Amino acid sequence: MRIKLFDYFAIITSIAIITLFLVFSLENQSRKLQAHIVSSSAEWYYPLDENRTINIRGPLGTTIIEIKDNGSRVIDSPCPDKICILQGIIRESGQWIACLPNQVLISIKGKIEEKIDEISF
Amino acid sequence: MKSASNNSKKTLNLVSFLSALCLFLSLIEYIIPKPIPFMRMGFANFPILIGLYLLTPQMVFLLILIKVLGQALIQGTLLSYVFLFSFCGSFASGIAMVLLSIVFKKNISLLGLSVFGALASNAMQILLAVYFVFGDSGWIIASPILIIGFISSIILGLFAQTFFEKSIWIKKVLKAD
Repeated sequence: MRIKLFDYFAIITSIAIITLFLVFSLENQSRKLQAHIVSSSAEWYYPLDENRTINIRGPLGTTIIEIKDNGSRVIDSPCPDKICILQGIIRESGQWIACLPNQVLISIKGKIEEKIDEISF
Repeated sequence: MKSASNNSKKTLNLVSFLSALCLFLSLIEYIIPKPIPFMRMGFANFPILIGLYLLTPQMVFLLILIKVLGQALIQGTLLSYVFLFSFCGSFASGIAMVLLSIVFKKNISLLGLSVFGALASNAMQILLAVYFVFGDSGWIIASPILIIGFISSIILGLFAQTFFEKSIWIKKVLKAD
């Protein structure tokens, strides 16, 4: 068989697009971890490697979130059952803490490795 | 061209045969263990490549539809998001290949069509993975899928083109028209 003009074109275009995808996904991968906090009125991103304490206003009062040592946790919350405090520290991408009564959601974003438990095909 | 009824019967035979071949090849492919769940060699696309040269665009899409539905029934993924992936991927590649074969006509062989088809299908599936199912973690699978798909599409395209030129069966089918 003879390889035709647009066959080369197809191969070159493919290599170019694959390289673009590679660059894009590597860039995505190198992003730092961030704590994404959503309240009933707004949302924020904080880098996980800077220690700080954040006060979030919700319908019940103030939820206090601490970011420390590359982890995030709720240290105080006005909700009745304190489940958000019991959830402890989250450190990995994809983990989250929710406080439903005070409408606060904290999740870790950034590195792309959100762990999938199991895939079956 | 012979009479219309004769011709449509032949087309029907050809579509049925190529569909059956698709499903058979999917089964063969299913036997091969996969290191990554989504990864497939794409043997099942061989009849579609051949179909590009033997069938009208409508019939190519019919063939792809039968392939996608058949594969989903065999693998039991008809009602899962895997089916959405396979459906969109197959049709993206089908549309790309049909359009390119019309635009470039004699200047492109099954090799180029196969490479473009694989690219369209994989890119579509990655975009779906990122935007609908896995979020940003979909990017992990992007590069390996594209690279493996690229290599396997070259092998498949070379094989399909050689087969198309050498096969006695293809000569018979073309002559019968």
